[in-house]
Amino acid sequence: MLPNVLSALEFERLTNASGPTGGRIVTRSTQRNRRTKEEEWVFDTDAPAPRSVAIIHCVGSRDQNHNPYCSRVCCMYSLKFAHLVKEKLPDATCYQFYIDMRAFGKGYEEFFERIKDEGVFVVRGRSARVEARPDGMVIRGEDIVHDRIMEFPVDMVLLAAGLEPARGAHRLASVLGIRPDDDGWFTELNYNTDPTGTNRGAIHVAGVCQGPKDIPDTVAQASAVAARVLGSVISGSVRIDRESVSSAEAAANAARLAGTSPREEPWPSEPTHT
Amino acid sequence: MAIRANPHLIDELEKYGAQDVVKCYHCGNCTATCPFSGEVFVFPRKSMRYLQLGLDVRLQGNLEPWLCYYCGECSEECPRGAEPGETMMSMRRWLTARYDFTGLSGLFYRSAKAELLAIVLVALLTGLGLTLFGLSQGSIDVYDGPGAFLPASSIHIFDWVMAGVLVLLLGINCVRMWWYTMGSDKEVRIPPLEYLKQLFLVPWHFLTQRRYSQCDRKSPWAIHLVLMLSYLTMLVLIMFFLHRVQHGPAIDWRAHAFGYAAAAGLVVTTIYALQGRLRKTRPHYQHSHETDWIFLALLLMVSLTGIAQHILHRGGWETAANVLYVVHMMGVVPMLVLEVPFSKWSHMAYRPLGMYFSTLREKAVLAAEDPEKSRPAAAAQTA
Amino acid sequence: MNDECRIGVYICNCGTNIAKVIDAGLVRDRVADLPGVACARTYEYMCSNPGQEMIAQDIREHKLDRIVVAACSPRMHELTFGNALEDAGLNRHMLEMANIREQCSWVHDDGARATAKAADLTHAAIRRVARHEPLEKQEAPYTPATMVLGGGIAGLTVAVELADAGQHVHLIERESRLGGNVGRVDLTAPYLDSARDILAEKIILAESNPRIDVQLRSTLTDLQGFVGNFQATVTHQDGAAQQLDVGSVVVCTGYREFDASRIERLGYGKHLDVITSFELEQRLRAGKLETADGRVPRYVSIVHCVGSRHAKYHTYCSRVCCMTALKYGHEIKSALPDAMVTDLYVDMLSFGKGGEDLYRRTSELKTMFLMYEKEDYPVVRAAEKGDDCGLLVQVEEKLSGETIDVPADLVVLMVGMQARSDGADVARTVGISQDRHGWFIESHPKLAPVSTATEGVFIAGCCQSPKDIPDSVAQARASAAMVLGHIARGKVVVDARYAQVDADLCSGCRMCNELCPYTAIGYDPEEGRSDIQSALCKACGTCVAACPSGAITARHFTDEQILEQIEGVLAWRSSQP
Repeated sequence: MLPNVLSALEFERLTNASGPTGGRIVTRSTQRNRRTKEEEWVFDTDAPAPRSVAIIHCVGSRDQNHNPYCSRVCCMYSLKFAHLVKEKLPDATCYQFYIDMRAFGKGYEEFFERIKDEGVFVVRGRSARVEARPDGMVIRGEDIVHDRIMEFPVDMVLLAAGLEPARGAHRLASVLGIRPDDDGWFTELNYNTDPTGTNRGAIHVAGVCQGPKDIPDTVAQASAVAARVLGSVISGSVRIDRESVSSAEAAANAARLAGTSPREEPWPSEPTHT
Repeated sequence: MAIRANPHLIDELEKYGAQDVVKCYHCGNCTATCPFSGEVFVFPRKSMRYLQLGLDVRLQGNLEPWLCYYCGECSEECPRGAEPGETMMSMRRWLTARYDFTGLSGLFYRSAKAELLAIVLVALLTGLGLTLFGLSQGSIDVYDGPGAFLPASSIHIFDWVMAGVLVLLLGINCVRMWWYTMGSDKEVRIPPLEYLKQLFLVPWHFLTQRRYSQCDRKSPWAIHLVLMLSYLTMLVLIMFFLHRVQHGPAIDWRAHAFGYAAAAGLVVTTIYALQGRLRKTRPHYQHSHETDWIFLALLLMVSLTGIAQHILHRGGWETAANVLYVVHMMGVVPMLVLEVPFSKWSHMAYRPLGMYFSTLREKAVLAAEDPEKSRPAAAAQTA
Repeated sequence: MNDECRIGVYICNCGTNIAKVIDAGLVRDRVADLPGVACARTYEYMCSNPGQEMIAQDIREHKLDRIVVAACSPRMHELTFGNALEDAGLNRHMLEMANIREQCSWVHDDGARATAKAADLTHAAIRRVARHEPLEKQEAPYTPATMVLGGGIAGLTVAVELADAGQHVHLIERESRLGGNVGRVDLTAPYLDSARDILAEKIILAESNPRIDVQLRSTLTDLQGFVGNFQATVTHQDGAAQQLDVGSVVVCTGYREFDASRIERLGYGKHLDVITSFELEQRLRAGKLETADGRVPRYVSIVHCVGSRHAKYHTYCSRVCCMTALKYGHEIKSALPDAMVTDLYVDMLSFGKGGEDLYRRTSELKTMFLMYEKEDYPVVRAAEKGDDCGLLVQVEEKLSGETIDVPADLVVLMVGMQARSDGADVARTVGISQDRHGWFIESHPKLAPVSTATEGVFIAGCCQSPKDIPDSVAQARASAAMVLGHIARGKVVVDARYAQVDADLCSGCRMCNELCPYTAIGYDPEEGRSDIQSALCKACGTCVAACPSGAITARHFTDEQILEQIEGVLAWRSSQP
């Protein structure tokens, strides 16, 4: 509805060196498409740069009206955006409106401190309103720590929109016979001991489809799946579907836990369906 | 000086309707959304915070609940379902109980049974008293004129005495309100002259509920205004023109026109509110405390019995009219005795006072502050 | 000699990483006419597929026989471009990279002088590459057995994963029992699963599997060799040492907790009822939640970020404590339904799957959440006699703007994770590095979280950085994948760049033997000559420089090549003022 409210991915594209402006951060301008006669929004390399940028966290996440879960990556990418803004537009003011700053990974907290040192205003208090006024956009939020309402003009607003399961994920799940949870993420076999297995033995999940996560965690999960696959290739056996455990299998499991060697199945040329 | 956190306060407020406030994780959406939250009074989150932490003293002195009109936008924006709107409503109930020096208000809010018992008790006493009085000096077959069962002149005196007592009780509670919210605040001192200068605000807000009209949705204000004006009209008629309206069977249109309009207003708005609460059609109808139902039930009962006894009287069934008159009074008296000083109706004093005090406070705080400081964007700094 | 070469020169813009400081076009113009340069180009992203394709195409069309890529550090993409050359039929060592990013555009602001420097560096690379020789790679066998250091959740997971794939594992554990830090925990967040059950399953699998050799009370005291061919010395507490041949080592040594007594105002060590999270776990496991004098606590306060997110102690976040604290809210309420729990936090990091839900459910239990400013720890003091609690915790509470006194009978400190004190020993023994916090350093923070700079040595779990059980398990299995990859290939490729001793020139003085940091140089007493084990040699050049007879040459780092490089850098001196 407002041309200078951008989603995270739109901003990524804008700041990318191979993007529409070669990486320059500019405000979006409206122009009339000569052919369709409709008004459209474009990024013009020569358009003015924003003097102030506000980044709003938790858009659509941690929200019972949308998605109740946390999307995990948005705090960090929001800080990254702030850094890019300050790097490319040193005179611009940049604000972060957040609820909890989730900088949990290796080096993340230090990055957060660096962003603060770069002069980004980090405000505890998620802004709730972006309004169009005749002379620009106005953002309204509560600055909780300083106990006041902040209402001021901004040239650009970036929305840290959360993650949702990919389109078609549900259909894929039913085709594969694996279970999505209430939020649509694929359910792992065991949260602690088997975060990439599923109820179907030879089908694994890795990355965001199992739940929002960043690149290092995705790579680790992907490699974890590779371990299973390689293990099967090398040993020549594969785990069968867990759900269809027969009483014989159950007895074998019990025996295994009591000290006998793990049972192995020869890897069939066709996948086992039970 | 540190304030002691009181983890038990939340349990207390639960009985007043605040069940979801524990879920608030302080995102600030509600405050940012609230059209009334401003420079000096920042709410509703801050009030909810006091409640979560159990800071009784702070909450007691909080004017913010009276500045809220439950448009419900905050509850709509809340990502946690913490119901800030309903929490503010619960605070109003709690404050009403706190201002009340007798302790009865708290009792009635916490226990619907106690309130109902009180209503029944007062109703029976009223019924008994009026019946005995009526029989002692009149005939049950005479509604009006010599030998009237409940002559206007006597009822008139009775009404005024009751009003006097209730106003006194409410008045004391209003002084307590002032003390908690303004008087005991050593940091913000307001000169008596200022109090006088702004005094007009009290009747002004009382009559117009102007602030309510500034919400985004206008119909709640309109409906409430009709309800209030209907009641006020009825009150004026009864307190000053009882003789004229009671005197029958002819209809004195100059008085009765008002009466009929007021009665219609009362009945329509009460039924609207009842069905709204039953069907949860509006944000502020989503949650209903027992006191909300009791209030509406009493209002409706009183309105209907009032209309009924009037019709019966004008229709010539004087005995039935008298009986219904007693019944009517058996609703009116408990309603007034309970609601005015101890329950929902007290807001007719607390809200205009809330407007008045908050205006005084706002002026004082802004004047004391450095003009530079009151501009947020320029002074925005990191946490 | 240069004229016989046909050198392709490629200058990368790396998006804006190089281009925002260095004018690649200018650099190209300057070097295009140098002797031996057959073609010179610039491109946006040389490492991309089109970039590599461009090189391959030029090799074919212009019959190039050597390539210079002026771009990022060789550590980033030497492998990538080497592969590209090989795919196009050239030997991978006919490549030289000039680092005009990490060592130029990323460290200079002055565009003109940085461009001039980039031109000098490229010139140097061109002159050097003219002296390159094709080198043939070597292969070595890969020993399929693996050593896992640490028998905690990560170590157990690696061991079981490898054993399930039919491989042998030596699981070396310092303590007298398996399980590590998870063994000290009662329930896990967010689903309140039993840690005991999680561990029991893995421990039983490990102990019962004949392919897993569990050695308790043992440590790794020495590691020699190289990937696929390590000789590990494992020493038992009682002194007995054992030599084991392994192909890879996976380090899963875990963490230890922060010492809360370092923070005076929290009162740990001063008040008996101020305990750490681990001490609470002990009580929860024993099923007895009492104060020091045996009372049932009515108020429990939990303080987050103890020792974490603090410039004076540890700047990082310990990642698991917020979820653990929320878990405590539930455990305490279920053990003591009338107790009131307060959480004193800075930010609530309940980010994982099920995390936000746990947070909401914990608040529905009427847990009071207070927020304090980072680094501004609350102060714990004893309550007055006659008060209804034993302790008072004073907090500068940020969500209300007030100074609050929180009543507490028990104060639980969420102590952060920190690197083990023996981390330096472990790192030195296996040949990996620690960052400034003591966590082991991975090859690449995003793309290679379990590999290290030393091939064949992997890290998994908290020893790399704080993480919870699912992430430790994932990393552990990722390490297993790396190992299984080697096993599947069956052999390792040894770098073709190593030092060689010319036996005719060697006088047998043995000066080089002691200097080699990789203990790659041996001595043949019969011949009276030193010789270098090429597989161990990293071509650091120390021995080359030291040899008084000039008998040692480093392949790919000959004197000629290096001198040409120096000539190239000094030729124009364009970046000098």
